Amino acid sequence: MKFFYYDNDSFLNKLNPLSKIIAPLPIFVLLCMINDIWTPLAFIFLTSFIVIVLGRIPLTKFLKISAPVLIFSISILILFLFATRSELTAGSPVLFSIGAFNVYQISLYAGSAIALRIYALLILALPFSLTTEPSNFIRSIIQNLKLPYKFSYGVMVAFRFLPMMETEFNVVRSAHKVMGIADEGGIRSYFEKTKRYSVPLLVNAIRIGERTALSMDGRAFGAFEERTFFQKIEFKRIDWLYMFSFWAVSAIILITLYLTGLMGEIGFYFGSFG
Amino acid sequence: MIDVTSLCFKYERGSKHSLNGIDLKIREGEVILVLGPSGSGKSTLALTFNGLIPHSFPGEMSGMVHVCGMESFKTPVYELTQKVGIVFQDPEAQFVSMNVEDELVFGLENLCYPPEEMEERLVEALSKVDMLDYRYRDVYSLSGGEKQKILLAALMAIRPSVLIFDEPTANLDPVGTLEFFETVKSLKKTDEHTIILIEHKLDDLIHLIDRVVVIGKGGTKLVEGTPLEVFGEHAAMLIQEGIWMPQTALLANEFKENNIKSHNIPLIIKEACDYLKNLEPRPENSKNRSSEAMSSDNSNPDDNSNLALEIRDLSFSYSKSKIIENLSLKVAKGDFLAIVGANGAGKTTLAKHMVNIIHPSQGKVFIEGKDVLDIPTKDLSHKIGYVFQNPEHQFIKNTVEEQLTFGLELNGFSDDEIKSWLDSTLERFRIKPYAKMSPYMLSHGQKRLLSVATMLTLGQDILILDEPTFGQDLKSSTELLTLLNSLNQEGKTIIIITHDMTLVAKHARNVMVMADGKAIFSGSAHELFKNETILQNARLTPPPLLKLSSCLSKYNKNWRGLSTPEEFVNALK
Repeated sequence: MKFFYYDNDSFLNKLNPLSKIIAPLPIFVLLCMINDIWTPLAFIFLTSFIVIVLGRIPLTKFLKISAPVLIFSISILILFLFATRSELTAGSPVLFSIGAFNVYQISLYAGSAIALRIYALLILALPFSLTTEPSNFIRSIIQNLKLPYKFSYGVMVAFRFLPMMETEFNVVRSAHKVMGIADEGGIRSYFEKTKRYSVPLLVNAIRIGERTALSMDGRAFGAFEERTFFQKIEFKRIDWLYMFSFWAVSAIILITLYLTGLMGEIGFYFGSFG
Repeated sequence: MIDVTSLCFKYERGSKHSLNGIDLKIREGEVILVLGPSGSGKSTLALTFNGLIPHSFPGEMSGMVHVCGMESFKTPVYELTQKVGIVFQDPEAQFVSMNVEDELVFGLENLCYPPEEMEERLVEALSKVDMLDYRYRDVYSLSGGEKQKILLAALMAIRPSVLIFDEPTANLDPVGTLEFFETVKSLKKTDEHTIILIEHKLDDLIHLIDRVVVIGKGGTKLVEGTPLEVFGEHAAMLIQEGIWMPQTALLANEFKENNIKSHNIPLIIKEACDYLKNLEPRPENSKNRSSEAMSSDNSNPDDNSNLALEIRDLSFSYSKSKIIENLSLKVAKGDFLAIVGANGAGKTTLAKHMVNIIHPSQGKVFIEGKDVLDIPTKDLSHKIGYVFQNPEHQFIKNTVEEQLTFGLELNGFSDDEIKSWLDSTLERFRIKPYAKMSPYMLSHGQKRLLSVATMLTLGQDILILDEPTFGQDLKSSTELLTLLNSLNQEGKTIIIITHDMTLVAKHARNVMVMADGKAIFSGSAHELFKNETILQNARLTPPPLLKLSSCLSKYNKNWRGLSTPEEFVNALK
């Protein structure tokens, strides 16, 4: 659960977790509809700047985390080079050929646009995920979103369960393996397997859940409609400042790109308006 | 403090009463030990004290419970929980938060305390369990013992007057258990709390106890009195009911049965030592058990055809840390080997290499002379049975009967063969009445027996058991060990991973001690218990009677190395 969080006292660390989620949301939606390569590229630079300067994340850590995303994006690009829709490639000049495959210029462009878009979208989440302590995030959801606390604590405890269930699953798997039951492929064995795993896992999950409930009730959980908080998380001035500055810079980037004609057509699919 | 009158309780879906007419008075500042076989309603009783019964559990309740003058039936739960705090077993499941500080204030937040007061109580509670340095730690970086101490602190922040411990050490290793008991001791010293303990590891606790209450299978109170009264006068009945007793009490009982002069051996080791020091034990060579163990050792020379299992220079690392380092081991056919060591010493990892669930980074594992990597999974499962810590993990079928026979069916045995095998197994493991039931409906002890039986279906010659006596009452634990002994006598090789040094003393022929991934001792249990350096290095807690024996050996050398009641009796006969 903590693979991402980097503990320091940077500017981003001090922000309310919610502001780090809300700020990039509009850009998230916008990026899904913009098909050029410059817009995602601009936001990749902006986000990297935020993470490294405002979040004071060491460059090596940043690269390490974004590497798998980068590899994923590049494989999308390669896929696109060979498998672009035929109505798009019609009339586009051929860049080079490998055997019977022609690689068109438009494929390279479309592929880069999609790959950069994916990379930009994933990297937009980093200012939040790298600098937010999980319990702070939960605290801010409970306190700022005004959800009933009984409900949000339920969600939080469920969250705590996941790693426990993963461990359980691995134990059950080896427990079955030593009995000489091999996991085979195929639909029938899939159902059989699901049943075989889910019964012990469920039985245990229920038992753990009951114990957690006892432990919570034993400490007066749900005694009153309201509860107080030891650590108050508020929406402060710097949170608004961060969000508005982020949006202002984003607007400047978008307007500049639009006016210089670098922004392509708008739509979810490449060439859908063309 | 707590006043219980003719209390009965039946869970909504329960077939019988969990508590049946309990009367109990607990005075302020007392330390009470509640004993009973598993399923006797000890935990149910505890839940009636903090009001979760009847307020959170549907069921039928009659009788009265008064806590600090409040009648539990008429008082809201949150008021009762402020008076009575319970630490349960399984530390992992009791946590709500991800870090210590959040966990400590959880209850206070629920009760709407202002932040300044929370700060004060948080610091106070943490210092009471001596964990102030842990305030900013993450929960998952804590050991089991530390987790229980934090949970205790979380309750103490609410400042309850009664603290109940419901098998708090059931999931802890010996080191964590001792650590937690130390904390309970320090609480007793402050005299601020009434303490109720539900626990079966009694030897290190017994001197704290003012009064013992025994609850029987039917949820009725069997006996009540001081520890000496209960364990001294009712020993036979407690053994009959399958209730754990301090080793010193078992020793006293054994003496009584063998007509050795000494009623009322004190329960505390030091006092027992004083009491027994004038007796004259005979020298070692007349004790048959240990010499028998020696000779069986020598009858298995390094002849490879005689080996059930061999490990050569095994190393295993997991994400850069070495879990097992250069470990070699030879297990002769028909051996009864115990693998012991602190949590994290690599015991389970080693056992998993034996059944090829983990592949070695370096070195080899041989089963009956064959490299384990060259044996197909199916054939391997014919040679070795591996009983996991939680028997439920290996329940695959809907009924006990199917669970026992599926392995045979898979391997094409005839119906007649399966039927006769099934009948004899159900008989031998005493689970015949439950043949058509779901394995999950069995009691804790029966589940364990079933999982052992499942592992023997294919005529496996080697049986590995991971913590087989964990969380079992005395009766089912004894039943299991008797069974393992008889399997061993039939020639099966038994390997158990355990923390229970009393078990090692009593049953293991050979012991391997692991510490930090290395085998630091290999030899007979008797030899091990004489070697104090090894015991200390591996952070093992010697069996209580061995402590008694080493205390007594100051007076007479012949007391040395005795670790079971039988050995004591043999030395004195």
